[in-house]
Amino acid sequence: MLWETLLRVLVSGIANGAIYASVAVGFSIIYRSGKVFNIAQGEMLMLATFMAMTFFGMGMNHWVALALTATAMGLLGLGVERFVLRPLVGQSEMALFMATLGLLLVLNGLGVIMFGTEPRLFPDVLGTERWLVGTVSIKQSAVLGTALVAGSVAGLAWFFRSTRTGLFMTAVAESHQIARSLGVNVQRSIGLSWAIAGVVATISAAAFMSGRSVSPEIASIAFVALPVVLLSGLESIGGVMLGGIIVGVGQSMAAAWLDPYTEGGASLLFPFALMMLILLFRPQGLFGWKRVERI
Amino acid sequence: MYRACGSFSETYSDDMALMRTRWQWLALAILMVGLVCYPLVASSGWIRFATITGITIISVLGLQILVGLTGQVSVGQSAFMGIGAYFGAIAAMKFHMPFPLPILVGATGAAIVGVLFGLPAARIKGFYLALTTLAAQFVFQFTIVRLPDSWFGGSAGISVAPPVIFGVQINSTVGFYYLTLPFTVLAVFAALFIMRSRVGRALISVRDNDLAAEVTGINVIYYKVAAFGLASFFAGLAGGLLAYENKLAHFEQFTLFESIWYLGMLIVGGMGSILGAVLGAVSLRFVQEILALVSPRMAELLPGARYDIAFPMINVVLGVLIIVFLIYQPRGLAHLYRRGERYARVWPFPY
Amino acid sequence: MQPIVMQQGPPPASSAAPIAPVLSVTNVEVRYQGSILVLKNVSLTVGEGEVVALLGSNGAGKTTTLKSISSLIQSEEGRVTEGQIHFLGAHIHNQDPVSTVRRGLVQVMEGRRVLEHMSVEQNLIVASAPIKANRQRLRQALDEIYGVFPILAEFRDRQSGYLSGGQQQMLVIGRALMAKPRLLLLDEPSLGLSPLLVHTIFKSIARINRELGTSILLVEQNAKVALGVAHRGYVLENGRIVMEGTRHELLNNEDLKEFYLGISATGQRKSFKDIKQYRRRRRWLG
Repeated sequence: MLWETLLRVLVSGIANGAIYASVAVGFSIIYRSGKVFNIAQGEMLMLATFMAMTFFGMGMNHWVALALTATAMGLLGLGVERFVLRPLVGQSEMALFMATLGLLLVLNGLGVIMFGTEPRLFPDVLGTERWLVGTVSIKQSAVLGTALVAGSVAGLAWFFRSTRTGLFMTAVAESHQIARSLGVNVQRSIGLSWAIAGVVATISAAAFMSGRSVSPEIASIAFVALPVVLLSGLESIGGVMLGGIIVGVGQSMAAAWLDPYTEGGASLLFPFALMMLILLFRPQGLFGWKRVERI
Repeated sequence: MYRACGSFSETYSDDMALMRTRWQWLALAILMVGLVCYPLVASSGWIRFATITGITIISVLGLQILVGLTGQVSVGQSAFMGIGAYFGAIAAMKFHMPFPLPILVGATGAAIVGVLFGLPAARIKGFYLALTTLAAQFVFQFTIVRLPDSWFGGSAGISVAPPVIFGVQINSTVGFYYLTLPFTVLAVFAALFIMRSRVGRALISVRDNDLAAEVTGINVIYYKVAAFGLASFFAGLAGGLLAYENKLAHFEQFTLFESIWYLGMLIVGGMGSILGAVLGAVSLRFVQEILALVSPRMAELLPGARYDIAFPMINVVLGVLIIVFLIYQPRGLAHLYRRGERYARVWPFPY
Repeated sequence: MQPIVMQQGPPPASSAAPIAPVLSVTNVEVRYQGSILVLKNVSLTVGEGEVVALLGSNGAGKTTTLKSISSLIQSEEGRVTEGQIHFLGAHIHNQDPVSTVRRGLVQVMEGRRVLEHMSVEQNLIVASAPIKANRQRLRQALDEIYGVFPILAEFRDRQSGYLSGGQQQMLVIGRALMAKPRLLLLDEPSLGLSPLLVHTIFKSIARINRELGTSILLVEQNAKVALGVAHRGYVLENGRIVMEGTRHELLNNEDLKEFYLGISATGQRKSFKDIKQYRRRRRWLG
C-alpha cells in the first residue's frame, strides 16, 4: 500500500517535475545570456500551446504544426530581444526585470484576447496508452513527455558545453566584456538565447499539454518553476532536471500526505515555501555560479 | 527644486518649505477646492473612478517608498493591500470596531506581515528579493482560500458593512469619495514628510549605495526592512478602504496583475518622487477606465470574440506603456512635468 | 636584486624606425561620458613584427590607450573624440570591438580575465570566434597554443578559475593568439606575479613575437622588464606622450632611468633626498 502510494507519488512528481524543468531551462538560458530574468517565460509557454492548437485546428499534421510553432516562437523570442531588451542595454538589472514584467502583461493579454479564457482540449500528440504497474497507471504521454524534456535538457547542456556556438554563449554568460574582447558577438548570442527559449517553450508545450485541457492560466506554471531554477542555480542548464524532480516529487508528496489535512493548500504552497528557503539560505542554488547579490 | 537666479532661502525652515510662494499656496487651495467640489460636477461613474484612483494613490505611494526610495522592487504590493483588506474586514465585522479603527488595524497588520516578508532583505537584494515578494503574492492567494471558511471566508471572501461615522451610514458613491479623499491627502503629505525626513534620506542612501550607507552609520538592514513595513502600511490602508468601497474583502481583487500594474504606475509616473506616484496612479487608472469603456465596442470588431476583453486589453496597453516608458522616458511623467515647468517659467526665452 | 633583463633581447634589425606601421594612432583624444578628458593628443605607431612598450605610472592613461585602440572603451562610455586610429590601413576607432578583433587586433585585458567557470580548453575555443574554423583547424590552432604554453595542455580540462596566477596569465595570452592576430595589445602582463613568473611570461612574449611574427603593443609599469623585450617604447604621463625612443635610447635616458628604472646617474639607486629636484624635473617632463 505504502509502496503503491510512493510509486504514484514518484510517477506524478517526476512528470510534473519535467515540465517545471523545461520552463526553468528557459529561465536559465535567457538569464545566462543577458542577466535578464524573463518572468514572462510562462506566457511564452502559453502562447506556444495555443499557437500549436491553432495549427492543429487547421488540420495540420501534429509534428508539422509543432515545428511551425517552434519556428514562430523562436522568431517571437528574437523579436522580444530586438525590440524590448536591446533598447535597454546598459540599464540596471532591475529595469530589465521590470521590462519582462511589462512583457508578461502584454503576452498574457494578447493570449487571452486571441484564444479566450475557456479551457480547450489539447490533442493527444504523445499517445493515449496507459500501462499498469501494480495498481498504478502510467500514461504513455507522461513517459514520453518526461523523456522529451530530459532529452532536450541533456541536448542543451551538451550544446552549451561542447559546441563552439554554445561555448560562445557560455562565455557571454560569464562576462560580456571578456566575450567581446575575444570577438564574440554578444548581441547575437543574446538574441539566439531568446530564440532558443522560444523553441524550448514549444517543446514544453508538446511534452506536457498532450491530452490536457488548457486555458491561458497555464502560464502560471512558470511561477512553480521559479523554485526549480533557483534550486538548480540560474546559470546551470543540466541542474534544472534535478531541481525539477525535487520540486515535482516534493509537491506530489505534499499532495499525497499533507493535502488531506490542509484542503489542498500544502501542495500549492510547497514550491513557494521552498523558494523562500532557497532564497534565504542558498540563493546561488545547487549548481549556480557564486555571484549572487548579497550585502 | 527649480528656483530663479538670486532667490535664496535665508532660514532652514524656508529651505524645507513645501510652499514657497503665494502662488503655490493659491494653486494648492484651488486644487483642494477642486477636489472637494469634484462630485458636484462629475457623474457617478467618474466619482467612483476618483475614489478608486485615490485608493490606488495611497498604495502606489507606499510602493514608491519601497521601490523608488529604497530601490527594492516588489511585485507583491497588492497582496499586502489584500492583507489590509482582510484584517480590516475582520476587525469591522467580527470585532465590530467603529469606522476608522478597522482601517488602522488592517494597515498595521499589513505592515507586520510586510516586515516578515521583508526580512530576507537582510540577506539578499535585487531581483532575488523581488522573487520573495512574488512568493508573498502567491502565499497570500493560496493561504486565504485554503484556510477554514470561518477564518477568512474562504472562496467567498468577507463582506463588509458600510461604515458609520457620527451616526451617519456612508453608503453612496459620493459618500465613499469624501471618505477616501482625506486619507489620500493625508497619505500624500505623510509620504512627503517621510521622504524629506531623516528616514527618507537614509532610505535614499541605502538605494544609492548600501555599503556606503552602512559605513556612514546607517543601519542598512533596519531601513531595508522598515521600508517594507512602511510600504505595506500604506498598502494595508488602501486595502482597508477598498474593502469598504467594494463592501467585500476578496482575494481575487488582489492579484499579481494588480501588483504589476502598481509597479507600472511607478515606472510611468517616475521613480523616486511623490509627484511621480500620484501622476502614475492617476494616468494609468485613467487609461484603464477608458479601456474599460471602449473595450466592449472593440470586442465587436474582433472576429469571434464573445467575451469581455477589457481586462486583457488593459494588460496589453499597460505592458506596452511600461516597456515604452522604460525605454524612452525612464524618469517618467514627473520628469516631463518638471521639464515643462522649467520651460514655462522662462518662456519665451530658451533659458 | 638583479633587474630582470631578457637575455636574448630583440633582434637588432628592427630596432630601426618601422617601415610599414601595422598600427598608427594619430593625435587621439579620448573622453569618458563626453566630458572627462583622459587622453590628449596621443600619437604612436607599431611596426610590422615590432614589440612596442607603453610605459607610465598609475592613471597615466595606458589602459585607456589600449582600450581606445580595441574599442573596448565603449562599454565604459568612452569615445575617441579626436584624431584617428588606423590598423592595416583601416579606420578602427569607435568601431564595434568585434569587428576590430576580426581584423586581427586582440587585446589581452588587465588582471588575467579568464572565463573562470570554463575549462582551459573551452577558454581557448571561445577565442576562436573571429576565425572560420572546422574541427581540424581548431585542433591545429589549439595545438599551436599548447606548443607555446605546454602547461596549458597539461591542465586543459581544469576549470580556469582554479589555475594559478601565472597559468591564468599564460591562458589569457594564449587565448588571444587563437584568433591569429597581427597585433596583440597586452595590458600589464606582469601584474601581481612573482619575478620568476614575470621572467617566464616575458620570455614567452618575446618568443611569440619572434616565432609567430605577431606585433605587440605592451603596457607595463615595470619598465625594466618591458624594455627587455621591446624594440621601442613610449612614456605616457597624464594622458600625454612625453617621451619616445628605441629600447637603447630609453634605457640610457637619464630621466627614465631615474623615474622608471630607479637608477641615478651615478649608477646607484635613487634616494628620496633629491625629492625637490625630482618634482621639478617631473614637471618639466609633463
